[in-house]
Amino acid sequence: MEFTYKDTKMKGVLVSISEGNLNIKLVNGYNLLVPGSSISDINIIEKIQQNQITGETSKPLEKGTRKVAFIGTGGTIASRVDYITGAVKPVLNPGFLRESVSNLSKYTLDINLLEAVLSENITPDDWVVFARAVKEKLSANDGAVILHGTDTMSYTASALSFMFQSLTGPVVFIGSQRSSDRPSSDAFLNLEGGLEFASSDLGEVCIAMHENSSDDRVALHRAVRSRKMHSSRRDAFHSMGTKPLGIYENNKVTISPEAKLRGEELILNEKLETSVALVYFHPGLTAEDFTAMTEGKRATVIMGTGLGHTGTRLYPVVKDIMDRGDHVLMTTQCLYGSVNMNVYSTGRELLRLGVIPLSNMLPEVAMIKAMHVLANYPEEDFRNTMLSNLRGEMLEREFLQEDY
Amino acid sequence: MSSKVMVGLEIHIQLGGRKLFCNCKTESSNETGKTVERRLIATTGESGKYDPAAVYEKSRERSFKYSLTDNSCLLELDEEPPHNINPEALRKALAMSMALNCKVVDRVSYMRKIVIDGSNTSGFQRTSIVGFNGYVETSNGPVGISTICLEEDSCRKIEEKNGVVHYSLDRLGVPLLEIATEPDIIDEDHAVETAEIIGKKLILSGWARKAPDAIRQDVNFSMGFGRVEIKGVPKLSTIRSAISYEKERQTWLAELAPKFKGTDWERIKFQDVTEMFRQTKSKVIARNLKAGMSVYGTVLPGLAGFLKNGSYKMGKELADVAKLFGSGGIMHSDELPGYGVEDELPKLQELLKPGEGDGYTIIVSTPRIIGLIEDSMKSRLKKLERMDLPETRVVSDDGSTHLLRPLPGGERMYPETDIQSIPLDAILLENAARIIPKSEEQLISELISSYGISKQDASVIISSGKAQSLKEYTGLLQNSKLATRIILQALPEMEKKTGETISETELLPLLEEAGKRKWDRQILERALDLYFVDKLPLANLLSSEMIKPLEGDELKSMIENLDSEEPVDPKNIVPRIRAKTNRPFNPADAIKLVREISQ
Repeated sequence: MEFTYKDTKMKGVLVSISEGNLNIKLVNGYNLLVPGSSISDINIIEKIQQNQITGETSKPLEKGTRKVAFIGTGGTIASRVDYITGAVKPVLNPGFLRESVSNLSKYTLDINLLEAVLSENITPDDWVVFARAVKEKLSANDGAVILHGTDTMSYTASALSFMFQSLTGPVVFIGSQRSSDRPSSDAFLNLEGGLEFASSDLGEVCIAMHENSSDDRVALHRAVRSRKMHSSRRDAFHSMGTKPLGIYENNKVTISPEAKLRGEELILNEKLETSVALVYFHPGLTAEDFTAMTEGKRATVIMGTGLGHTGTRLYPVVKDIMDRGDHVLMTTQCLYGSVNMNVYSTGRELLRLGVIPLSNMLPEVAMIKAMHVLANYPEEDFRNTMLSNLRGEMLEREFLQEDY
Repeated sequence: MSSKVMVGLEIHIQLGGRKLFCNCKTESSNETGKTVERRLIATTGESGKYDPAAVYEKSRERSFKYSLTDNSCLLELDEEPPHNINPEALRKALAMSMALNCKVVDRVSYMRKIVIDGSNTSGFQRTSIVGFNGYVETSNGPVGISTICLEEDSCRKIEEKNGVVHYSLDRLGVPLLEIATEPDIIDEDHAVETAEIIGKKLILSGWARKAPDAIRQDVNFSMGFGRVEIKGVPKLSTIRSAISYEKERQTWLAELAPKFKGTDWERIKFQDVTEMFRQTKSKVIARNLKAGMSVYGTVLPGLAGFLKNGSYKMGKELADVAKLFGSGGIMHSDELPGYGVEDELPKLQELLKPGEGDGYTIIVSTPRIIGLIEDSMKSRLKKLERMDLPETRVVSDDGSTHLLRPLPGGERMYPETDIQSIPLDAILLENAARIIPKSEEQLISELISSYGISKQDASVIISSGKAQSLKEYTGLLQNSKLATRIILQALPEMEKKTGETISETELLPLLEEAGKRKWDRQILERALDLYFVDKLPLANLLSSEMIKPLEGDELKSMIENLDSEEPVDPKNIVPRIRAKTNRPFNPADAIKLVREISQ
């Protein structure tokens, strides 16, 4: 359309209208946001169909020899912003993927795009949906990649890790911290590395993301030791207290000998008891707060201070929880290092009350593990199962590393 | 079919202070020694189409290395979203829009301009229109200002080798005002005049970074064959020569184009001729062969006598293509034998079989790249045959212009979703109106009354853009006369002695100490000399004997000693003391002492 704005004749495409402002793309490419009341002499030259603007060329994907299930759940990596509607839409434009992910021609992707969810909106019900999608695809493929938002990716990946007692191939979660509509997106390298990991001999649930700020290495993290440690950096994911399980660099994958290899059989235990609380202890936390947070919960994971402590004011509440037959588990809010409740008297007192010390298990992982154990193991085995290392969620030994 | 020359300018000025979307300073004093390596992928704009410049860059398969500096943070590394806009930079952009008679937008909405040559870590430049539809008066009538944009400056390129481009992050994110004129400029002189008028406004504002490259110009040129954008014109004199060069270039291209009609450019096929050059006398080729490169040759249909002959320079047009793919250039039949290539020619001609009117060329490259060069040369020749000239070019110091990349289109712009649009309310506009840059006359009289300096000094300070420095130095030294002297004499002398530009980041700490210690002119000038010429670190300087003034009894005994060697005279005492010591002293005191002694 042509129009006049502040005595100036202009020409552009009306892209959208919101809150009384017209968003007009001028012929020089700039978008102008103008109040509808401030423009005049509007002359519509041509109406452009929306799909003409968003239209993307799509060529079929090449069929490579390696078969990988490609499951989309949403998140930055699986989406691009639609500039017309502001909506987020799936990224799977095969032509774009092929041009941007350099090793794609080696693969045949078995694609299943689930309804896109922002990862902060994901609940344990979604974990079950994702786990079923993996189960359905894994038998026909070498492995699976799951595109997922990074905010809660470690939660979902840990949940699937516990749910799959045995896997016939790797399940690799991939996210990105920069959306794929940006030339600098980390998605392309993460996908490249993720596909390589997904066609390896692994039999674990893992997360593949940038190892550092450069576009040269992708680290593979064991799901139950992974954590998002930065809100925006590409290398936000860390293997907590240990080294990554694998590295992709210069078109080559290196996997640690500690990794679990693929099994003969796929076993999925999808039941979850979601009535589990995760409580961050702090100096202002009162016994009343604690009571309210743990009411009706079958298990409570405390993120205690230091070696695994809480103020003595919580002890009566802990005792009440025990008396009604529910569980209290201790992790450390330090995130690095183990709880050890023998060193100080407060720790010993909590142990006497029946609190289960979870070594160096990450707090979120402990919560998800409790959901899994409560639903799939006999009640009397709860304590022993929580204390046994099911998926590598506990480090048997810890070494001096630069970042703990 | 050439029509009249139309020229537009894009003047870029860096604003000093803080960066546009983070709290980093615009000035850097060093690199941290850390680097990060990245790649960029061409993505589509909101219309879903690839930008031609972006597709072209992708074909070059380069990777990028960034050096971290003390004035860059996670944002410059593209590791976090932009912070709020720098309000001072926005205010200055608005004020400059007002000064250039522009309308101001209702809302500032940021765009991402895709640039994947690595000069932005994100792969795009953040830019927004702030003002539009203004003008400046010139001797040839008004020249329209189409837009004023406030954008992020790009990275500074350090070097490029082996497919890796190395950049520094120091300049990335510096607020950059882009003032674009309408193509109302009619010739070289008019372009220089217009650039001067706009440049002066910017200099007078005192907002520009105090750095040699703080103001850069692009020239948009057309004479009926499409728009050519000439990037990075540093000086006013280069504007003139770049326009002249481009005018000549398009004129001879227009003359040649009809002669090219019907030429079969597909005959251009590079063949590996490395074996012919094993014993070559050409040093360049020998060196490249040693480095593992190969030599390729091809016939150039119909180009004999046009490659380098009088005004015809088709060889340069083809060399530009080769250079973009990392090749040093080409050697072609219009200049062979030459460059030590002679013995090989009979064999080469036998293989390439140039026919009547055909030229030929050789080039040093690699098997991976040569195909790309061949394709690009063919498509360039087809373009030139059609007189399809729009492209981005870059200027050399001598004013000649070279192909840089295809002209980017509107496809490269899409909204910056990380920054909410900023409504420009009445208060913001009032604040901006209050700082609209003043005229030269106004500024001069202000300096005279505020600092008690002469009209001549005030005028020099204003026109060299040092008014802000005068204010700062006076604040530190508590002495406007001394500050004026530093600006007009001491610093230019230092720059002459060292051959370097004195940086304010280095200077200000010294002036601060000088103010605290109430140094007089002698001590300060001595200290500046030690600091900038002898490169004495500040801490050492402050404790040095060499800036301790020679005065009182010490000065007196020095004069008495001199007197005993040869009687002292008020006329030559100053140079005689200087010959003995390089410590500062007050010449008036010395002369007074001489008079006392002689009495």
